[in-house]
Amino acid sequence: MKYEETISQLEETVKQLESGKLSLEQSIEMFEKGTKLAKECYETLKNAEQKITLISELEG
Amino acid sequence: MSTVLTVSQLNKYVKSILESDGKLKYIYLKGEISNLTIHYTGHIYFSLKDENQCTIKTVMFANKANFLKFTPQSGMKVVLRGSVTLYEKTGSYQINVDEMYPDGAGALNLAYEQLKNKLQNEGLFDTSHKKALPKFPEKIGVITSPTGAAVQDIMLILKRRYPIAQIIMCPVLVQGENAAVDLTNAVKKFNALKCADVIIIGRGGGSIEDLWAFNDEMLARAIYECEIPIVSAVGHETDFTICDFVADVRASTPSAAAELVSSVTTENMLSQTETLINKMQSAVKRRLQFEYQRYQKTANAKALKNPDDIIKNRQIKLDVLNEKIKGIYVKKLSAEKEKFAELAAKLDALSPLKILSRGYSVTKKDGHIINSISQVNPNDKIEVVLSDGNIKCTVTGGHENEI
Repeated sequence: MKYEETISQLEETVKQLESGKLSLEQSIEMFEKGTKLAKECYETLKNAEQKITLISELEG
Repeated sequence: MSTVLTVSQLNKYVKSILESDGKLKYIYLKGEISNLTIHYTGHIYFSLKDENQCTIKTVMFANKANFLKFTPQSGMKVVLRGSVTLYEKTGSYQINVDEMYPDGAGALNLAYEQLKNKLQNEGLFDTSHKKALPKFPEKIGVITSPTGAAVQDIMLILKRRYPIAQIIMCPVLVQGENAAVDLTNAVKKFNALKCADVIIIGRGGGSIEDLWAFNDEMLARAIYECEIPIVSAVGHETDFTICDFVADVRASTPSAAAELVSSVTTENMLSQTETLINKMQSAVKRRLQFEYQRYQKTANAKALKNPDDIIKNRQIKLDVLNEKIKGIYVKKLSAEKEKFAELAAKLDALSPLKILSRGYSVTKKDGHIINSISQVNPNDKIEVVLSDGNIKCTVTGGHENEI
């Protein structure tokens, strides 16, 4: 998943959690989902190592 | 008499004289354009005139005129380079122009202004056409010289601020004759491959001539047509090229461009993620606290907190009730007892036993009291009840009272 997608899903999850409209079970489910997404984001960022590619390598 | 020549022969001869003179070849000439005609074939005809109103016919053929970086106009002062020749048809001598520049303001400046106006009128700089830069680009295209300072600045900043992205390098010439074509092709290549989320195009500082390739019309059109957002960073803060105007965003320097495409740095992203994690945790914590309080509220209710109390209370209530019942019962009982005693006394008074104790008896037959001799026959078994016991008898005989 793209980073942008992951982080916006995480944002949505937090929004829902903060709304207080979820049942306790749903809250916990959301929290678990959010934790997974956060971990994904975190690892993508932490392991980021700049890759440099020449455009000529991409030409078929 | 010498040989008689035709006009053609003369013109041809003079032409050859003019064209063979090295001093008349590739000369620079300055003057003002007059009697300008731009033919539909692309050839340009005009007279070049000086302050003394001296004129010379001038021709610029389409194959040269196509390279003009400005549109000639009557009254315009120009510097041109060309060679003197003769037009045989009219015998007039003229200059065939190879190159021409506006005099004074500078050819490049004028060409720049003219192209800028032209593209602006066409809408190539319209803000409505400009695309927003992506917030989290995954692939950043870089079009610049592989040897310049710009590429180093860009790489350094991206490495520090935004290592998460992949950099797609497209090395090009950024000055000289082929630079404009190189740059144009690079933009087209990115657009065709769609291999970047954003593109930085640029170079470090230099003279107006050095930066000239970035004022190319074809490059401008390629940038306009490119579907990937482009950040232009040509030269220094004070340099404005056509490329800057047509690009989606203009950065003052290549370093600034690198910062623009990494507006949200990886570090920002990390702290953003951390903020979200914190928010999430406190939301859940709040929720759990709320639930706990709810639970406690319920749990604190007397019944749940100390069930013994309730039982005790109930017991007490029950005891009180018991006592009450007991009281009522006892009262009732004693009343009953009294009633009974009274009744018993009454009964006692009427009791046949008392009578029996005075010597009377009761006679029963088959358990029933009999009170007449007619109720028995001889040999019937009867029972006589006395005050202290019974006598079983057999009837032997009897008689009625004689009154």
